[in-house]
Amino acid sequence: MPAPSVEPFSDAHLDVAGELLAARHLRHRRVEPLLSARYEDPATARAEVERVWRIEGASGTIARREEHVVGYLIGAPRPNPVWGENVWIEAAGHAVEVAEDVRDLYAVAAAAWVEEGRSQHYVLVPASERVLLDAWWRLSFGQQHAHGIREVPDSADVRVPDGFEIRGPREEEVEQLIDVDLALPDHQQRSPVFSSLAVWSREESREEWLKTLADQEETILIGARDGRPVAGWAYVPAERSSETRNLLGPDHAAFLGFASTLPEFRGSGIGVALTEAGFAWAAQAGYEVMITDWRVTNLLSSRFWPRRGFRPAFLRLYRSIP
Amino acid sequence: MPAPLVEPFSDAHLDAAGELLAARHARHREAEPLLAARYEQPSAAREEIEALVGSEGASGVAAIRDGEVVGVPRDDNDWGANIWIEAAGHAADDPELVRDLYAAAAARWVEGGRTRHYALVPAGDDDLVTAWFRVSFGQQHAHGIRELNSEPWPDGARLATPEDIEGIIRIAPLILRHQALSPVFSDRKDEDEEEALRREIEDELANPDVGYLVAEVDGRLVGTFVVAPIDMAGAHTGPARPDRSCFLAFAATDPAVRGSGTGSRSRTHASRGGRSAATRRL
Repeated sequence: MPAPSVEPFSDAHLDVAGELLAARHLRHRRVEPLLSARYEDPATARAEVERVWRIEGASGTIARREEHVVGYLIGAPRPNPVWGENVWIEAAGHAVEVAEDVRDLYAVAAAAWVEEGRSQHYVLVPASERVLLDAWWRLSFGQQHAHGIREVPDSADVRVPDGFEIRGPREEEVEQLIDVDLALPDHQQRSPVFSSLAVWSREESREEWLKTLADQEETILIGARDGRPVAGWAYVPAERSSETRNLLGPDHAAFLGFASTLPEFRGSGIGVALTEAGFAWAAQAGYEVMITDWRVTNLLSSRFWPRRGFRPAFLRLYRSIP
Repeated sequence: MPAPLVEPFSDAHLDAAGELLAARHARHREAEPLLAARYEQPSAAREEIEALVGSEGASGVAAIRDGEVVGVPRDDNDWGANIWIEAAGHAADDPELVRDLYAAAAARWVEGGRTRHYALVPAGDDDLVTAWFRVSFGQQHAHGIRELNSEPWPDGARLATPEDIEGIIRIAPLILRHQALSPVFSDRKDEDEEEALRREIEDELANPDVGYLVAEVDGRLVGTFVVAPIDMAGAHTGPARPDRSCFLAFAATDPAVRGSGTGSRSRTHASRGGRSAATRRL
């Protein structure tokens, strides 16, 4: 098959991009039916492509073969400095009829991004599209992050280990809650994650905890040993998070947005118990689906969450040039 | 499964590591039988690992009885502050174990300022390849292999002569320039000065072990291929070096004729050139 011709993306391509994305999402839902059915509709998919296209600084490409548009790719920078001089290709930012074509689309788009000094590239790819993942991998992208999904079970098996309890957080124990909060970023700065995300300070964590406790918008389950918080799981409706208010978020899902255990209590069973308690809470709250995400390079979390039944739905891949 | 016990690699691990590498190579040869059979022998595999461990700056880890990862820095500016996990530098009973081994080894490498990591992995071992993908490695380079068959010399392809040097000098830098572009973004900056390139071409043309090939269209030189004995290939070592093989060391085609079949014809010519050198694999 000859290489496609590649042109800049423009408003004129939104309709066909919506159709391509809807087709990709339809394939995705055949493997992962818990994802939202809405994006199988080309009009809804088009709106999501347009949202990505309207992000400040967005640019992209389309692939054409014999006058027929066979793929598109859109990237846009995220303003948060934690991502470096970046371009993100969001979940709605690419769809192709032939997986190999994404390499041609990226080649042209990335030339401009690197020319602008944006050398750190992120892309969200359906985990079920093995050939598409291979195409990205052959552009030197590696796995960085996974977005997992699972059903909320009808009944949960909450077995709290001896000496532990599961309960809500208390304002008077905020210093211990800060310890739990900081345990995750501290772990992810180590090998083999080597996260470049800055560890927030105790003061920032205290401020965040006090706000969270006052707002009561999150459901937080604390695992405590002898009264001391040693682990914390936090849930919000998926539609409340900007990260999951798109193709990544199923309709009416619970989002496990944070989970952390102090190092000395990892392997104690309190994490499993908190996860089961979270399922029990979600079922009671009327949720049928739960999502969460983890660093693939975090050996602990990348093994823990799949064992809890979470299936990767999207993978975030990363390439830094050089 | 509990996390494995990982400890610094030492001579005491060489025997077990040799057995693990031999087992990995035997699996590899089931998929790619052209690779050298001798590394299926634990003693030969052990020798390769021992050579790596003896290299300056080498360090590694072992999971007792289950796996090993050994990295060696390459003293070459092209690769940045690097560590190379060579083809013999890793093997494990369970592919997932490679992630634990890498985590332990990489902590030290990054602490030492070596942040660019390269690993050579058997391409047919999907689970092992995925394990490396899941510690955020992407694919950068492929090492290919094929049989050499008896084929006629294609039209327009022939052995180079000193009269071709100017044409080769025109074409030779094109590959490096192409690879500096998107999406390769190679940061290699070692394009030879013209005089240095001329001397290199003269030396290779004079070397009877090297097959220097060119392709012409309408009397104009449009492609050049260099075929050399495998033992001249520094990047193909240990289990990645097949026996009785030649190495297609360099190939460049004028952009004006890319897609015209010139490269394919030249490769056929290269295959033939390699075969005439009493080798069976390219």
